[in-house]
Amino acid sequence: MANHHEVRRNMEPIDEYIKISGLYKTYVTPNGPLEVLKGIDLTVRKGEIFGIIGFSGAGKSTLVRCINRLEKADAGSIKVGGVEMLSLSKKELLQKRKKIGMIFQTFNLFEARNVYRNIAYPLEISGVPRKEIKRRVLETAELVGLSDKLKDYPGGLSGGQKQRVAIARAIVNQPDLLLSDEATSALDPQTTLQILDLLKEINRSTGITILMITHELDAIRYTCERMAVLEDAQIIEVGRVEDIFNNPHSRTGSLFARVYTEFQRMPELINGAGI
Amino acid sequence: MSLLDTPIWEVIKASFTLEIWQRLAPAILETLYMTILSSLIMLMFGLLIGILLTVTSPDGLIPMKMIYSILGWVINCLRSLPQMIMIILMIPVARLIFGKSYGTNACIIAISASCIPMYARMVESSLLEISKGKIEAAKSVGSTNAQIIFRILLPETLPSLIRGFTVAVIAVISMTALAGMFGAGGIGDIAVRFGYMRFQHEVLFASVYVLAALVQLVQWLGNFISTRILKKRNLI
Repeated sequence: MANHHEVRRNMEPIDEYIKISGLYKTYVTPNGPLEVLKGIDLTVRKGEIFGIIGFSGAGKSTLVRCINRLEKADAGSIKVGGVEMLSLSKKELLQKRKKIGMIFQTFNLFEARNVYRNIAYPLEISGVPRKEIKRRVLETAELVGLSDKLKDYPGGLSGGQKQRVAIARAIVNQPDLLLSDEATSALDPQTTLQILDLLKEINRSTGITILMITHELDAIRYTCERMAVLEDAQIIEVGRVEDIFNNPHSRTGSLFARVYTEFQRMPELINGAGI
Repeated sequence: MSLLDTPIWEVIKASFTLEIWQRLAPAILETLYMTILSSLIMLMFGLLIGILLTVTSPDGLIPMKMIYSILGWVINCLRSLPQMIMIILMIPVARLIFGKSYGTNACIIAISASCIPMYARMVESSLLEISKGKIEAAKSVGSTNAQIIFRILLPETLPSLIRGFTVAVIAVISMTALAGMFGAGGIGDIAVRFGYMRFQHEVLFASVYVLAALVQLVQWLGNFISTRILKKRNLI
């Protein structure tokens, strides 16, 4: 029995690689408490690209930040690869974060460092030997298509190139999970597609699980297999992307309709991408 | 030679004579010595306190309300003192450290004490300029707080820190001139003793040239370095 127990504990839960249950978060604002997450339950499978769509104020950014504890959740549980994130000690958290990459809408590159040293940063702080850093930075730069920009500073790069650097920095530690917080929202449609293609490519070649949150329907539709819809601090629908797009829940449907009229770029993306 | 009985161009002409500059030379060295040493002390403690203020602030890396409030209160108190009063207040401290309450070294203490709080506030405002996102990015890859401070926060805000330091050094220069009145020596001492009290206005003029040139030089250097860094980073 004891043995059996050990085995079960060490097994990577594939169907429940990320398991979020009963997650609550409330912000204290001058206008009183603001509930941004009201009992979120969500599971993400290992190796999939999972999308969470929501519109501003829906709480999606907070949700993804709770996973690597950039935000502190009030109650609930977040398990990543079987490890309870919310009960990790400070030291354990720093170690675990090295295995969870994150990319952002505003790229958040270090302007004092050139591309090479941006990508090298996560390795530098882990005390990886110089030669090994060089090998892995060059390898990762090649993967994201930045081999010729290593000496450039972020200030001189285009948005798409900046996001590539950010992606390289996020995956250079060979993490198991990549969190994407509106990573393509500041990019033009064509660059958005290139970045989404890159994420898909990285997912295919490394098997990394990607959790992307966005307000862009097209980005989810183009990239993800499964998705969740977040509205008013709650998940109102979870399922396969096709199913949700073809036959949305009535609340999801009305949300989508709102976005279709707000964003007129759907047709060009569809034509460009051949969805 | 006084402006009271001599035309201004005569005084200006006299202010360029060798004899005046020979008298000024040691004072210039004293002023440089005071400025450099005070600036270094100010840089060291100003950075330290500025970092502490930023880090312990409610939105900082390690919020510690107690330390932040006390530090802020002490800084505000020190900054409310006019520089002249600070010099007088520091007399016992100087005596304690150097066994002498006047002279160049004694005044360095007063100058530092007066300028550290100011530079600490400047450091704080420079460090607050960093975007929250960069800190988050650094956190997301598992950086410790020390790594965030030394590898991200300080390098990212370096051009702004340098500009702040430039302004602070200029404040130090003007304070060395004031300290001259209190036995610190230097240009200020010469300007007051000869230029003002003995009506040797050509000495006053020469002192003004030196102080102006010094300030220009410091400002130019500060701009040059910070601009160079920004250019290297492709930010301008």
